[in-house]
Amino acid sequence: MPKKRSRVELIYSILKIIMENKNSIRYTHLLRSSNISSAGFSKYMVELTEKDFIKEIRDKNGTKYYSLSDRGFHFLEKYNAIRKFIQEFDL
Amino acid sequence: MPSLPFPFMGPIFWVELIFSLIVVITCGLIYFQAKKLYDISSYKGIKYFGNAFLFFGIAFLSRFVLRIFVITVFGLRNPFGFLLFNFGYLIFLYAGLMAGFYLIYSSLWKHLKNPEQIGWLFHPIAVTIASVFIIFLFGSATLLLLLLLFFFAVLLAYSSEKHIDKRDKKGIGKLYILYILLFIAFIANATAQFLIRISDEVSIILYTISSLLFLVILYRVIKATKK
Repeated sequence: MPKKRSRVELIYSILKIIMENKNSIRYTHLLRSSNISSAGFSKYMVELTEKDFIKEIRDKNGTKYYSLSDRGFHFLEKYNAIRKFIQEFDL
Repeated sequence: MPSLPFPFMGPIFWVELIFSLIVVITCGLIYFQAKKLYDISSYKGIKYFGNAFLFFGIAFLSRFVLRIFVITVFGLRNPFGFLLFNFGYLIFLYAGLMAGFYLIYSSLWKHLKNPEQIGWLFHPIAVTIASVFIIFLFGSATLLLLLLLFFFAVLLAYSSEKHIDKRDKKGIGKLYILYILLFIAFIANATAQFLIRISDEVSIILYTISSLLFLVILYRVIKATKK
């Protein structure tokens, strides 16, 4: 049985999917790719937007896309250090 | 009340000061590195780990202050010095116990439902134990109780290790050995500093081992967080 992902792992997974999709992804595509329940996903999206990890962009047709902000890139950059730290000390 | 050791400002005094300084700076570096990562991630395990070293730093800083200002400058026959000594010893014990609790908790918190609520219990428990030591048990009984606490810490560390997923177990065993050695170092320091007279040679060996343990942890922190 796969291990339950921690909050940090879930945030990392959402941000990484956005980055891997050329930093522009639609809500439904992101929800499917992240493999998180719909209710949990919308909670994380609100938190990530409020904390300025991601930003909402609309194209000329009004379609909503999400992309990483500078803070989101910074989190991804530091995530490896955070993950290594957690593993190193079994935190 | 048993007689307490009186230090002299010989070479061992300076060795102790340098040792305290190394441990305090090392703990400070570990704490700030952990805090930096916690500010980005809000991951509780990192916070508890950082807190453990914040309290280790406070414990060794209070030991340093006790050594210089209280025991050496005032002396324990001076009522003011005696009062300050007990207060300093209370801080030393409280901070050392808090450090131990947080270090164990940094691995155990994942298995609990409300880790933040339980974390607040550490303060009253540590203050109570430290006060009981000082008011009622100053002397050889303190050593016995410290050893009992150490035994409890080892049991907790062992039970935490049993919970670890086998896939993640690689390298963890060594970490527990390091933590156990840290507890031994803290108890040995408390004993050597306040309860038993030990020779200068044994003191130097003890200080060197304690400093090395903290430096090994700092090395692992730097290794884990470097790009």
